Amino acid sequence: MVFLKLSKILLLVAVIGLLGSLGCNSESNNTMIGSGSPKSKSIESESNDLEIPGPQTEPPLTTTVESVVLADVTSAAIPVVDRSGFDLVLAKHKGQVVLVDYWATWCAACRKKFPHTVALAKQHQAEGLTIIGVAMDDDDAHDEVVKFLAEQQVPFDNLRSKAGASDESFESFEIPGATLPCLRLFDRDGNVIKTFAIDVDADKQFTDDDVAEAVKAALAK
Amino acid sequence: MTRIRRWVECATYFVVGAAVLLSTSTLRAAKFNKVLDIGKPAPVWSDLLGVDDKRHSLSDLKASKLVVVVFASNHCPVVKSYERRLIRFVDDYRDKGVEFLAISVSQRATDQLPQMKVRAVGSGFNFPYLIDPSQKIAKAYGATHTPHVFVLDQQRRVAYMGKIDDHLDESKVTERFLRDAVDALLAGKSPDVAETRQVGCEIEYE
Repeated sequence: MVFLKLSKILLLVAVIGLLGSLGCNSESNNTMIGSGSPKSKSIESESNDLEIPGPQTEPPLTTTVESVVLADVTSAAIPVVDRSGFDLVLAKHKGQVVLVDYWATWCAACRKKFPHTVALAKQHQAEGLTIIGVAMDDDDAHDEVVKFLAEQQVPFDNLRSKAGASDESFESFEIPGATLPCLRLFDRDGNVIKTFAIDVDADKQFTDDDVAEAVKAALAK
Repeated sequence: MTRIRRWVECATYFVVGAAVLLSTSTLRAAKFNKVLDIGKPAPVWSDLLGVDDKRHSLSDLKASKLVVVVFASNHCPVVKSYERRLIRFVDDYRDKGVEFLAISVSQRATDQLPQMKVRAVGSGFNFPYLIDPSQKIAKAYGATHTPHVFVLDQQRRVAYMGKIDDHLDESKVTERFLRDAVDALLAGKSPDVAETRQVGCEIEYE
């Protein structure tokens, strides 16, 4: 139950953030996790409309495809993260195969590929696949991100890059060629197995099947 | 009968072969542009509505030495990153007889004329920002991304097409393709680099 796990993180962030909000400054109205260096683990929250999730029950140890719960895609549930914030979220999923889908509302190819990522989640969640969506969108596109994810009925958690679609954002997330779509697969120990990236000079690009096969192979290990 | 059939077959092959040769010579595409090649006559736009509520046509710009047209959109962050560079380009080249304009063919809600007007005012556009809901003009240019830029020479042939420069982050730019092409044309030369691979957000054709 990825959603419940992330909700815990959100709860922790929200509580710490509210406690420490007197000393924090943020231009964003959205939840923000982990700004600063990866080691600092500083946590900021200056949201005016932040909804603090209520107490959550313990997630069941196992899940089935039928019991997959759609992730909350309200604005408050899409944390805005920098690289260190992302790394914290990723670390929470150790023991699972993680597929990260870097996408953006402005990327037509990403939006076309996104339903395949959703299908992978539904198909393999029970086998230990976690998917994290990272929207490489600017602040002014946040509402559009929320709308798109709601339409897609995503069964996994989503983040948005704090630096949006800037060059800095692509560099920090190590997206080759600063080009989307890009997906990255991590093994159960958190090591990168493969990055699926666009090679603008190549005639052929990675396909949905390439991603699906790599996911299956990683789950079988 | 057999002889006649052979003659008919032979003539058919000849006609088909000639048609193929003709079509490849007239529709020859460039390295990155699948529709248009350098040196070809620029497709003409007529009566496209701008954020100034006026209609704009290529034929209005007869007095200009060069015309630079960029396919743009509100929603694309790559276009946004280039806005300041484009505004400066217009400031630097307007007095040299270079006309610049942007055309959007996006059908997204964020790219409609009222939103384009907001962007043009907010970003301080010093050039016409036009909309073509039919998307025909972008198709005719073989535009695939925003921003995709085309430089038209005095005879209104395509003289440069592709990207504006070589980096999204202006501080890291080393090759200013658009400025170099325009400088060369103003000096009566052909651009050293006439085509580059366009980058940005894919244009969604309906």
